[in-house]
Amino acid sequence: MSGKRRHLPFFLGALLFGASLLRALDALPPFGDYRGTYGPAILVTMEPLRHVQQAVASVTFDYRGFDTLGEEFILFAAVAGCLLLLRRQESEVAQEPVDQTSDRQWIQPAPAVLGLGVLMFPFTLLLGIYIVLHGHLTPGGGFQGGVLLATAFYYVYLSGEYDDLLGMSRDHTVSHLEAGGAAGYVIIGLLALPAGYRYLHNLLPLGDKGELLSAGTLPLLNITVGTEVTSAFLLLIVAFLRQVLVIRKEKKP
Amino acid sequence: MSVFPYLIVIELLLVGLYGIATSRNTIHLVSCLFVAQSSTYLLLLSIGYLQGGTAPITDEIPGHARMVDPVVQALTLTDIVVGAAVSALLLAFALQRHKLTGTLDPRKEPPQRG
Repeated sequence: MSGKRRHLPFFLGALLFGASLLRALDALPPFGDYRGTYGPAILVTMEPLRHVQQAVASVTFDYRGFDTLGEEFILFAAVAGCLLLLRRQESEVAQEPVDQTSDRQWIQPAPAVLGLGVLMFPFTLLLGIYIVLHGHLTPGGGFQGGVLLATAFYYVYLSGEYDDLLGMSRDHTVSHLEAGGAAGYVIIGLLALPAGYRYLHNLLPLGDKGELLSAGTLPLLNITVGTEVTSAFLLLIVAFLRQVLVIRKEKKP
Repeated sequence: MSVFPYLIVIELLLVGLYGIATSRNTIHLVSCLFVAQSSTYLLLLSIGYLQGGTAPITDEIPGHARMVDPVVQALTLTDIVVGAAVSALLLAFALQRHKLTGTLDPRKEPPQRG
């Protein structure tokens, strides 16, 4: 079939699908006229019951904490799948990365790039740690802070060399951190079981609302998620960079 | 005006699906999947929006202020994380397919054997 006629079934289907979606708009409340019941219930109960002032973190790690466990393991499984797929295949060889231009001896990043990287790395690292630790007080949390922390290490690669980034992942520290982050969430949840409570029950004292050490296990869960997300994104970038820079097709002898 | 955000949701979803259906490149296809998925972020946030509502953080805001629904915001967070993870996995698949077949065009690849 030619290109245009191939698209015909899609356009027919999309027309029907779009029309039914438009029809479904009638049943939705108008934009800005929110009528749910769960949201207000959480906003009313989270301060007296949980001593949390950030409702999104409260939903993610407390009211829906068990779902977040599943979400964390989707991330874990996806990263594990990526690393499994991006191993060196039997038909490939791993080489040390080589400079593609021949007229220079070693890579010298421009001073401005290097300076910016050196400047941005500690600030991004600090901001990431702040966002993870204050997840129950201000917007943020383990997922957002984890991505920021991984970005900090991307600066190392961008302003330096591939080896600088590879050195951090060579001895499996990052893999262990990722597994540790995923396991930490499970273990924190399990700790409540021997005491006769349900999974993820908040055992720690709730503390004063607005303090850094408050909301019971919520900051701990934020830290485990932050650790996992940071390591997951670092493992991903290293795996993709390895494909580009290190793994070569084996040359036939 | 009251349905405008929902119309954008439908548009984003259909544009993403169009890209997936007509794509000649797996990497382009994954990007289109992400466009289609971003319509769900907008849908979730639009449903939870309250006219004049503020962010659901109770620090230093007057007690009578209305706040938007935190549940859908948490769901959007889940959505983004899962989307990023799945995209990475799909791109890894695309990379290995390219190595095996030398093409990124999903139509040119030979049928898979189990």
